[in-house]
Amino acid sequence: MKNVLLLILIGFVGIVSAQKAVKAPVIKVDNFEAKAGKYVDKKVYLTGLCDHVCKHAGKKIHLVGKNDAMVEIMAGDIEKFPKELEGEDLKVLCTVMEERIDAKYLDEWEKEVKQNHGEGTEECKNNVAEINKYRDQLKNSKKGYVPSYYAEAISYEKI
Amino acid sequence: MAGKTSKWRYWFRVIHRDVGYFLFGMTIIYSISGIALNHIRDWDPSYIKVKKSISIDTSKYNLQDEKDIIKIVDVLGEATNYKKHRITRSGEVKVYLRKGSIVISPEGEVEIEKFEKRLVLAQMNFLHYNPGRAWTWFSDAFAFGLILLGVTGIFLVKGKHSISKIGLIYTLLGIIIPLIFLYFYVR
Repeated sequence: MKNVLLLILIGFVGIVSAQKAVKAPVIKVDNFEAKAGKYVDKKVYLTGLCDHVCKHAGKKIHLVGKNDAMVEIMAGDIEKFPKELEGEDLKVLCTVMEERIDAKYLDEWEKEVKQNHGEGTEECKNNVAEINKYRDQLKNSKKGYVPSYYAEAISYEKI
Repeated sequence: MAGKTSKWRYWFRVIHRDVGYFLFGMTIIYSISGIALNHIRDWDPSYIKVKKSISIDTSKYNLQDEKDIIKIVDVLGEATNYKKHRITRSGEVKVYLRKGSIVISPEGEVEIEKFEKRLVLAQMNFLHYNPGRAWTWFSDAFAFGLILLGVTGIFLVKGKHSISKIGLIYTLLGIIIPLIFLYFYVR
């Protein structure tokens, strides 16, 4: 009787553990930009080095790859990322999101940057330079927008 | 009629008093962290950051070699805090420490940034940012408690300073001022 109960318990734990593990492709940060279009609104595991945790409540991290590729991951289901994650290799289960950047988006972004950082500041100039890069890409885009990919975290673990 | 009003005011006083005592701690936590987080553009409310810039002679080191990077980190006194490093495309070396980072340019300019949690304030901010589901329920109860304090509070006093007299002016001012802000921000 005891052995039967033990087997049932082991089976139960096994089923629960199996249910918790999510099946999703594993993508390195270096390959994210090339593959993200296929996985919009789908779950993936992103692996990379945590380079930066946003000081504004830890709601965002930058995951970097070997060739300086960078993916922005928003906290999503996680309440906040602790600052101590900087410098750690992470495997983040996340949903790939697409932001469609069109001319209206860029105009509003530029207005916000000038309001928040003040015209003429270093941060404003860097942001405006990035906005102008998108404007150049938009000129060559047949879709009328430039897709920008980021991710929303569901869970993470150190690797 | 007079008896019924007294009983009703009595219970409002009891609720206001006891809920007030119970929510004292939460009010302090949310108010102090609220002020700290309100100014998040001007400072990091949870961490004290110390930045230092120095120059070193990088000609003695190979910045592509891990052992040489660790030697530099040792010279800077941070060997025990070393976690990892990476080399950016521009040739800068970013070293991740346990509580900070070091950025070394190929020209030898070094920026060291260390951070420490602000005692007590970091923990208050952590709670303010909703660390989990159980806390969400507790903080919802806190918000409901504040509503109770507000509603019972405006009916506590009789006479010249009651809600039907001078009290009404203060109450209306407290509603009109946020509406004015809203009007100017939204238009």
